[in-house]
Amino acid sequence: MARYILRRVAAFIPALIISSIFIFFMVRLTGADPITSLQGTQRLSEESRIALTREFHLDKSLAEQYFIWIGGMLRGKFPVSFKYRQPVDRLIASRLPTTLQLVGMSFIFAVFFAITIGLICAANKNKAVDRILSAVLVLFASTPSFLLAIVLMLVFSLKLGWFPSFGAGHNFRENLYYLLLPSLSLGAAMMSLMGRVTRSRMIEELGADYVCAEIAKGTPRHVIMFRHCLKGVLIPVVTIGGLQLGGAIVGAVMVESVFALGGIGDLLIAGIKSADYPIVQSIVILMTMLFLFLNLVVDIAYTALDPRIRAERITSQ
Amino acid sequence: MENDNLLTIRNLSVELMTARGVVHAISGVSLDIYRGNIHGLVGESGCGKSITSKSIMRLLPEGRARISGSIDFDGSKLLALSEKQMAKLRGAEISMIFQEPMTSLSPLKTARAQLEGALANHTNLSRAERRFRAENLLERVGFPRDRAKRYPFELSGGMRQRVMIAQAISCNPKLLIADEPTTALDVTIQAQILALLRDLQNEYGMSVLFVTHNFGVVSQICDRVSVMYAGNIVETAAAEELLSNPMHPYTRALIGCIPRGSGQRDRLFALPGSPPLLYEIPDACRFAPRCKYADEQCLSAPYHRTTGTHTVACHHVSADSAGGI
Repeated sequence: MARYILRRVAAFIPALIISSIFIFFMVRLTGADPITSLQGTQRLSEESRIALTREFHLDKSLAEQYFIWIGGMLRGKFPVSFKYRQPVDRLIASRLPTTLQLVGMSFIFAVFFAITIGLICAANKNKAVDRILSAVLVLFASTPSFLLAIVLMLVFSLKLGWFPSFGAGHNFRENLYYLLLPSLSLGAAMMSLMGRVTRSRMIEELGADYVCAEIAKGTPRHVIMFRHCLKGVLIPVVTIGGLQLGGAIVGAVMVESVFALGGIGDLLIAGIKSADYPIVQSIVILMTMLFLFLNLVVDIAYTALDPRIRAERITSQ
Repeated sequence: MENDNLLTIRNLSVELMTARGVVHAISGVSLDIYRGNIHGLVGESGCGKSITSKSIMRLLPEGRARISGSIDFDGSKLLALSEKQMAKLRGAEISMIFQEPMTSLSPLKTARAQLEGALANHTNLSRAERRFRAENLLERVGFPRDRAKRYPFELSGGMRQRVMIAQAISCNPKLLIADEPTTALDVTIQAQILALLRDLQNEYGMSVLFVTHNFGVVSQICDRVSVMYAGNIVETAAAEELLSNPMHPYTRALIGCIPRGSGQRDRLFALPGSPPLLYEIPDACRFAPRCKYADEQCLSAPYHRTTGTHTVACHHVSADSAGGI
């Protein structure tokens, strides 16, 4: 198993090299001049403009700029933001906890409701409960998270006044309260897909031969569902859960900006607006790394769930 | 004889609702299974053998199967029991082995865990006791002890069937339904499994309903046999009697189909035609369209003629001329 993980981590290297090149040049394609957007309303003297251009290595060729960036990252040195004049990692560090907490909470909501709803639907296949809950799942799947965020905010914050409409709170308990609506809006779409997969996989699984054999053994229905079928059902749910978790880090950008949470997403959007390349590049490469890492976690989770996959991995080494 | 019955089926009919209409899967099936007896149920694919055995276990999907008639098991009317009462019987009093050992075991449980599960369903044994009993049962069915923690995908078909058998006998059932348990296995394993079933039947004194399409298997293991055709039982007799003196034309044709390795290379005998589709069933002998003896009276439903313990449903077999058409 350790060898398997090592092999997988080694495979991250080419993936990261390729995506770093891609990210770097994509950002440059916008063609915006960072110095111009930096100066804002005040005029910069020609000397200071040249000085800034030199300081940020913008006078060098693109290839050189790329290697300066990547060389710094490899030594653990993030580039300095044009606008904030501090290393990007310091900017990220203060905002990361909010984003991680938002994504984490929304994922927990999503998993909990998806599995609960999916199992209720499968156990009552084609009955009224199933139809209603399935319709709700489809509704959430087709609602963009920022729209849901605005609706939830309108109803629960502005109309009913139960929840704050912006900010992330100052301590952990306040965080939980402040981030409830944002994480529900971010988690809804995740829940929807995972819930529908749980439902259809469980229905499929309940039709398998071995379920009939278990009934013939006198095994109670709930034992069959939870002890025999659930593990098999969870494998595809884990797959899409992992992918969606990666997607949620990106989706968080929208929800953060609706609720003015001041997370990574806000920083990223501000960075794009002001052509602050160091911010955009660093955040996107961090997200890429997180995504790769999540995929690995998903693959390890399979092994825990299914002995057949475990056997395959051991023999393929 | 009635009191010696463990299972008495009377006039059992099952209608299945399908997209193409109602299928009369079995109609008017009556069957007696004696205590301590192995009763064979023979017939070709689709004749209703599995439907019959699944109705005893009440495993047919409730919404889509309409069952009528009566099934009496050791004093209780199975068709009248609640689902909860039925669940108590399943695996404890009546247990079942399936045709496909490849897909009938829970895929993510080890061999031993499958048995522990069966024991947990019907006993109050502690974890350790269940483990101990499970290992003993595995040993009893010839399953190597050191493979107890293997998963089904790591086991051969024969080994999986041994696990199925071990869990079927784990709670000492009165009736074991074996639905083509050896069909998916190769011949040497088949013989081992049959010998095992025979031994276990002796040891536990249970009755067995043995569903098969193979007369060779019948002669090896069964005490009595019923032959099914198109949802009806056409003939029932002691196994030796039926094999040596088949009366129903269908039974004769089936026995005639068994290839004999006698050295001469004759053309294999095959019964012409195919069984009727069971959507609309006329009140006539269902075998008549394929029967070389068929005449006018075969258009009315045959009633069962009985001589001793030999019962036949055919117009051409009269009580006194048993054996001759």
